[in-house]
Amino acid sequence: MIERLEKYDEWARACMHVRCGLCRENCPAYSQLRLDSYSAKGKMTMLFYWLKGRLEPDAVLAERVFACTSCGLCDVACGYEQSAAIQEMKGVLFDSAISLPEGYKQISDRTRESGNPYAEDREKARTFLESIPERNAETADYTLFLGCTELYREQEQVTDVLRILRDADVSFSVISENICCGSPAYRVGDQKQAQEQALSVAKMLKEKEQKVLASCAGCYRMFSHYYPLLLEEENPFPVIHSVQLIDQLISDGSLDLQPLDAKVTYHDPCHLGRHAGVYDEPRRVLSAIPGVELVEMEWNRKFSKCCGAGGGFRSGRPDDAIAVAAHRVKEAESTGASILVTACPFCLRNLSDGAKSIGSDIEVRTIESLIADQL
Amino acid sequence: MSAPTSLYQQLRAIIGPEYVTEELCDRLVYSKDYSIEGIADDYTPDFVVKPGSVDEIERIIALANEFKMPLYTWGAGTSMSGNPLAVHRGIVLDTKRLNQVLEVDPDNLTITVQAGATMAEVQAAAMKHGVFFTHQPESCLSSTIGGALSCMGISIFGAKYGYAYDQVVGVEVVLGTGKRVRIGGKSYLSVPSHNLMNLFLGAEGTLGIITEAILKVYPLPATRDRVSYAFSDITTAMEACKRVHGAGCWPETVYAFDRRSLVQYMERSKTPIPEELSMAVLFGCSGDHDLVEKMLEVISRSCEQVNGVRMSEEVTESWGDSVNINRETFDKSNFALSHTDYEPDLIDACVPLSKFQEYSDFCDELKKEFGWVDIDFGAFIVAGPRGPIPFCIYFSVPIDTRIPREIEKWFEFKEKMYQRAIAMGGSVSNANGVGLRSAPWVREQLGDAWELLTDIKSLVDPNNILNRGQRGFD
Ligand SMILES: Cc1cc2nc3c(=O)[nH]c(=O)nc-3n(C[C@H](O)[C@H](O)[C@H](O)COP(=O)(O)OP(=O)(O)OC[C@H]3O[C@@H](n4cnc5c(N)ncnc54)[C@H](O)[C@@H]3O)c2cc1C
Ligand code: SF4
Ligand code: SF4
Repeated sequence: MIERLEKYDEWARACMHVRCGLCRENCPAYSQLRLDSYSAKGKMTMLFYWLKGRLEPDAVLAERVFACTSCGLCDVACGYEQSAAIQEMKGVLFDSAISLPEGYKQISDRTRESGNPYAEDREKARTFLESIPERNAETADYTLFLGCTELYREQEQVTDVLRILRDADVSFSVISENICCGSPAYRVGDQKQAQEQALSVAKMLKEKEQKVLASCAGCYRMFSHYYPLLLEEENPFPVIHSVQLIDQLISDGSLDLQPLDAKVTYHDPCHLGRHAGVYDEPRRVLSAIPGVELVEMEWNRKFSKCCGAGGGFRSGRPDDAIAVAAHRVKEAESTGASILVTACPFCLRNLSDGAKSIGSDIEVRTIESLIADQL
Repeated sequence: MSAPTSLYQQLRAIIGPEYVTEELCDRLVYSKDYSIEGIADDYTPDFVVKPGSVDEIERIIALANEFKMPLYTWGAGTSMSGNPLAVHRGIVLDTKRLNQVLEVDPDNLTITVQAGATMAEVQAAAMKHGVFFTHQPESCLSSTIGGALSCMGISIFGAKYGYAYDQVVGVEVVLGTGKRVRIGGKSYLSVPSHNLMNLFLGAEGTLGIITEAILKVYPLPATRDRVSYAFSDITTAMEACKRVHGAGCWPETVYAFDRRSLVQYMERSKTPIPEELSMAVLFGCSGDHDLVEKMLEVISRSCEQVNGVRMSEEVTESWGDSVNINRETFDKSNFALSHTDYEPDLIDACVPLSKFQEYSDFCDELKKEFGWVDIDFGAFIVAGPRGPIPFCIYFSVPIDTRIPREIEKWFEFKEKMYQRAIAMGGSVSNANGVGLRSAPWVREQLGDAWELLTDIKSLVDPNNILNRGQRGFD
């Protein structure tokens, strides 16, 4: 199994050589847990000695490695995509007999057993999805794919997306079944389960022969980046994120926005920003709302700090995840903004909890909810 | 519950279990810095601890004394000389929980910080108050104030402002005895008697653990600009620097790189470097716009008088960016990418200025002998506190760490280089730390003063707890 890690040997060696630690201070895992071991530098050291045979992987090592939100900020500092190496370490640990930290494993167990990482009853989702009139649209430009977090935890987000699409007369259909895209399972190293999800979801989406519209940054990255790998297909189906579509709708005049007198700041979700390079569209969308003053946080775009939710961190270490979010909320507060906007339901949830934990009165919203309210 | 007896239990009782580890996976993370010395041997400590207060540090030192257990202070572990490494195992003490900026005082141009704060955090805090902290090594995003004050570090702004330890007006130190002392204060000359502060600056953690420092800050310059020139050899490049100085010009950045070093630094930006270039100098100036413009004009004139060739703006920009790694620019760091096949170690001997060329030629010959040719790690020279005139030439030597023989060769090579420097009337220097790298030559160079130094060490660290086996000490 260790062969899977050998391709990262060079990166680990480079790290052992230079020891620069430039990845450390911004790492959400390090910021909470605070031994150098939790930064990418720590994890690369472990990889180096693991490959050398000096370090036997065990539950302690797994605890360190799994403490990673996959935010990719270390990649920016390093030049090597160390978050991908860490992801593979998670995969190998997952497939070994080593006991994984509580919470992480649960994500894949639940996905396997119930089809979603929240272990929610899929009938609930089906009833909701079947109530959407567009579900049957035979010919449409887009198939709207709704993710588990939106369906089971942030349903208002779905309502907002639908309002926008209808307002702009976008022709779309909806799949009336919830199947997890596989992202949460993938993030905790369960590549097999992620692949299974990918196979079912791709089958369903391909049948539609429409462009896929994802309003969750996690689903979007999974489709655009990981499906080609998991399915060994270069481009399984075309996909667009709702923020990109809204940007197009605004620029072609399909959306007429009412003014909003507010100072707003934008949190780049790691999946959409750093990992997919979607930085300008959300900013254009926000700036298009008359009256909105968009202000940047100190750490933005490719340097944006993570909300702390990703990579199974929120399930595995809920208190730490919320504490990371609280830091980000404070950063947002210091811009003087009254609304903190993001473009991912998972960030929304974690940032909202972070704000609550420190009694912040900043409003945490998604772009979709903000736009829907200005129609 | 009975009182904890083992060292491990007692450490946990003092600082809390989550900040004490004896797990191998953690200890290995603290077993190597940015030096070949660190890979040549096993320096895995027995414990890593991360105290959260000076009080805890005092108690850990007391415990280490009780157990006669060596204690190695660790900032970010980015040092280039092996000086934070646990030569005799024992405890590694990570200082980074003491990372607070305690006060920015723009009226008195000081900033008071804890030793575990990173340089980048200190700079950011200063900037928020409209002042500027000048020590900015390329590792400033990760390396700590304590580490910088303990090694004779260089900054891209050093030509104007000096070394890290030129920035200090006061320190708090916990000695090896466990006693806490404060020396200096906010006034720029808090030296009522002997300059005791200097004992602890550049001491690489051998005499005490620095816990707090009062540092100088400066008014923020309005603009910065830079220019770079290529020269046919080192001597001409140094001549240009002397002319710049003679003209009364005081740039903040003066970095000279040979072609190989430049290529290495462009690994990430992929900026092509002219073939014919031998030695190039990057000059950076700061101040009001008209002054900066004038300085660049004078620098250009001085360089052109010795036939320096102005480099393209693209090279100047990429070069400037690649050495200016900070919060806004860390995506430009080339370090990991250029360090995959080789780890360069550093010869930092200080030879008289007029001997730079000769010493460099000697190094090139020796590198050939050792089979290290055509690899993009070369020589570089930086200007320190003497203004635009450089003081110390560094040679980075590429080692393929996968080959044990190559690692051995490094030790043979550096012996030849340091001995040659001494024979040329030069000196082993503690630029970037003595640590394990140049320690073998320290006693010889210090002569009678070595005994004085060991007497001082015994006084402040009688059980030889602090960084045992480092810097030439037993
Ligand atoms: C990518 C990279 C770029 C670099 N660029 C530069 C550069 O431009 N200029 C430069 O000067 N250096 C540079 N360095 C070297 C290194 O970063 C500096 O020497 C830095 O000052 C070391 O700081 P640290 O916090 O990592 O200290 P460490 O490596 O942890 O320790 C260095 C020494 O200081 C001692 N020490 C640490 N903290 C304390 C304390 N609180 N009290 C007493 N002793 C202490 C340690 O025991 C050890 O002897 C670079 C290194 C890297 C990896
Ligand atoms: S930035 Fe890269 S090379 Fe530097 S410490 Fe982090 S992982 Fe290692
Ligand atoms: S991906 Fe993010 S959380 Fe994971 S090690 Fe890198 S910086 Fe830390």
